Amino acid sequence: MKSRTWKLVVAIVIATLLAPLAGCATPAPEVVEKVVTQVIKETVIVEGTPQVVEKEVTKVIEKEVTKVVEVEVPVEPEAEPKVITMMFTQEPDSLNAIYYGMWYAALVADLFNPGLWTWNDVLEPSLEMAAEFPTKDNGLISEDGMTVTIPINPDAKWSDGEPVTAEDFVFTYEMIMDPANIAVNSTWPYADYVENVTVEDNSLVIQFSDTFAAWATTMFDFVLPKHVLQPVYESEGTIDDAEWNRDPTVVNGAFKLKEWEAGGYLTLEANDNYWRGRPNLDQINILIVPDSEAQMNGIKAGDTDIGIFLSYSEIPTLQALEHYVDMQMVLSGYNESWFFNLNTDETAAKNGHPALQDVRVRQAVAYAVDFDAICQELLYGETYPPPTKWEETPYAYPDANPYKYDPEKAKALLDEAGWVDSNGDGTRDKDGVELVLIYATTQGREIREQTQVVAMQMLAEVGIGIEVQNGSYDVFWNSYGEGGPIATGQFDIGEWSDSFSFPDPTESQWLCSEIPSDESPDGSNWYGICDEELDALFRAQEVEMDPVKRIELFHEVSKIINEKAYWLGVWHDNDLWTTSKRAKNVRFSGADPFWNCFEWDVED
Amino acid sequence: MTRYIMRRLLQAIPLLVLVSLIVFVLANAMGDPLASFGGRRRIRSSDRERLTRQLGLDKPITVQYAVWLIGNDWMDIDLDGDGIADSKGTRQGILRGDWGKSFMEKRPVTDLIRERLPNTLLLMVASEIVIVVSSLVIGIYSALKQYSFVDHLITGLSFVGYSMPIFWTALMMMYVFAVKLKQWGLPYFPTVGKYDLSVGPTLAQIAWHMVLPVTSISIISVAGYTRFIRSSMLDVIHDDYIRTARAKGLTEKMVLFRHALKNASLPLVTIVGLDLPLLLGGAVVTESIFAWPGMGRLYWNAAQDTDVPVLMGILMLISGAVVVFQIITDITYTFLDPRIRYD
Repeated sequence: MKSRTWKLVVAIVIATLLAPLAGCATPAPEVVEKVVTQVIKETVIVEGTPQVVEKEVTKVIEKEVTKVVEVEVPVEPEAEPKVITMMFTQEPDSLNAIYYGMWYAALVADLFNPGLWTWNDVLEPSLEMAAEFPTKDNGLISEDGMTVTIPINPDAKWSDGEPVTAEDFVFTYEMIMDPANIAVNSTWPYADYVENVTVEDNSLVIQFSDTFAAWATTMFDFVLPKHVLQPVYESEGTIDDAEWNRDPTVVNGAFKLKEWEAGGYLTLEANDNYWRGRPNLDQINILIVPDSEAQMNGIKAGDTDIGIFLSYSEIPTLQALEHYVDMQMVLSGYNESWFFNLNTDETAAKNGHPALQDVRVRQAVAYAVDFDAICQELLYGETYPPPTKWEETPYAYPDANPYKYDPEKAKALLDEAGWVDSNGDGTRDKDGVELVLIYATTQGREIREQTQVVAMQMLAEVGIGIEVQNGSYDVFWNSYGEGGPIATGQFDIGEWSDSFSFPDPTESQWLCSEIPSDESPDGSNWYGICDEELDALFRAQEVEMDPVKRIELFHEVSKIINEKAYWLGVWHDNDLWTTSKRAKNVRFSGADPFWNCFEWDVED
Repeated sequence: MTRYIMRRLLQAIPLLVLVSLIVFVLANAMGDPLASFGGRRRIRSSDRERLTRQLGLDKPITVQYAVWLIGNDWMDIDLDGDGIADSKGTRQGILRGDWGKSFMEKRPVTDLIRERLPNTLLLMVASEIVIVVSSLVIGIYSALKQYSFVDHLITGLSFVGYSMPIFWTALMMMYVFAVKLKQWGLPYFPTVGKYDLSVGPTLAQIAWHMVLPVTSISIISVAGYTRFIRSSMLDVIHDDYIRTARAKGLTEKMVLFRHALKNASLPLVTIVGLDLPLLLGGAVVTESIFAWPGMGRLYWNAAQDTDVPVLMGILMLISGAVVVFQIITDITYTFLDPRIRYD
């Protein structure tokens, strides 16, 4: 065995030494012959007559002939494939967008299955399967806003060479809406707002049942290949078990799936038929790793080119790696927030602390906690407390009051509201009720637990007691029907981060009709806020097709939420990504993170 | 013997039904299966209502269990939410071989298990071989050299190995043999996956990637098994029949392996018989730490997402394997000890 190994080593060494020698060989000479005598037939006009005759003429023609002389030419080394590797801490649940719910699955879909357009790094539409972005100005949105026409990109092709057509989008709509396809992840907004979807001269025509402002960010961000999936649907009556769901061999994006080993990895290779042309990269490797710690190890070891959804607590480590990786903070619509439980349930089962019904107490809480210090000390000054929930977007009310830390003002507000420490135990009280608030968040996220400790100390200084009641992630978000602690109101202050239809600002969680109850256990308004003015504004924005008027409506919304302290921003929770120095042209978007994967490149 | 096996198999049926009922109730109590459906976003109330209905989660737990057991293709269900049960169900139930579909992946549970089981068996069978062979060698040596320095050393190391939790062992192995060796510029072991994607799934690559996980799994078991084997060997090597065997003039090797070890291995067979079914479940901690794509990780992910059909599939597979391996263990006793008879 040993001798065989040695022979192999010697052979490799000899081959390595000979390779450059081959490169030294004389280049193949080009031998040029110039003079050749040739007899040709030529048609001539006899001078002075209209007669045309054919006669033989001997001409000397100079002709260059290049002879290729066979010489030994060095073999060009095969170019190394251009590969980018990244690590996912969760494995996609499906690759068919009508079924998947996981954010990581949507990331993969950015690579192989774009819809009409994606949203780029400055949150503008980047056309993919659409030829034009509809507006009222270009006449593609009807005057009443009820019909949108989207011409399909004539260059768009599936990876098998078939054209992407408006029929594919109609088929996609039909599959989303067909109840035979069980467990479609979301039928919103199609079920709520779409009357029908038709084809007109390879344009997609969406007829709405009601005006719907968020259509551009929430519809057709993927498309299914009708010519692949319709036969499955016709034979099985559903596409639930279609092979394409897990092995999408026919795709319309820059990359196509090469291999997926369950629990191990996914590899995607360049799609030669992508409408923009073959992407710069040859392959993308996605390794499935158990947790973010494994991902961080991969970043440190240089085993991954893209760091995904990293915790702010990693910032010092990443700063120490600045020679190897670049950090990118990407706006994604998330804000770490405090929500107050304002339920006023008749049975009191899910009501929050009565003090919170008084706006002065909520404002006092806001003034009592130094959120700026939390951002500086715990989040390394990389972020700040957002004054509105729509921070960094045009929908944020520009004059929102950021509730700067002022414990004296907090004490004054509490005094004014009648909450004083009458029994000298250090905690304020009123009518025999102690001002002790239940502060709940998800277990296991260190930064949230650190924030709780700091906030508890600050609130104690103004006489507000805190009782921490955190829940594990899988229980915390349970619905009202499942007895979820937040949905059933087992909190006074709840801390988490959410975003609904980013980059569109629409949210349903503020509507009175969304307050969960025994009759309506699936409601999303877990805070029990039922403010008629706010409710009307949210309903109005949902159908307002004029972008300027919609912004004005959101400014009103932001103003009310801010003034009435219905919500407090703890930190503006942009997504933290990294790229290795060898990865080039990677520009993330908060809406479609891998929108420009066709431009990605590597430079070793 | 055939009657004995048949009797045991028949006895197993009510046992498995009882186990499935208990496991089903516990799995459903773990949380809300729809809590993970929205990804980073909360699931919309209208979608929650529809999914609850389509997945049958709006039914009482007794009905859900019945559907899991015998299917719903004999009953009408309301798929479109109009309040009228006008569509036939598509589930056949586990009694007819339909293990259900994963809530998260929307694929048959059998497909998920089929993908992961070979990886788990690869890791766990290799580990079991390492465990049995190492513990036999060490245990026998320790027994033969009772109270020697080596025996004391093995005993001490066994206690250390047995006391170390597997997650700590695995992380330390990763830290030393992957991270530190790499930092020192030495050849190092890979930390995650089954093979290097740039090389491909070669035998050498897979073997190389198995070194750390197999070692991590083996350490704690070798420590325990060694103590069992040492103790069993010490029990038998002073028995009369061993003295007789020696008096007959048999070589020490023959005495040791044909007479002593055969009798001393009965407790080992019992432990291995109990361990083998668990091989199918994989090593949750080790597979998670080393990103090994096996059943352990599948189970862990399913538990986190309250993916009841997957949890049920894995747990019933293990339960069935326990029954089968217990019968095999009982049969093995008869070969090792002729005094044991089941007829």
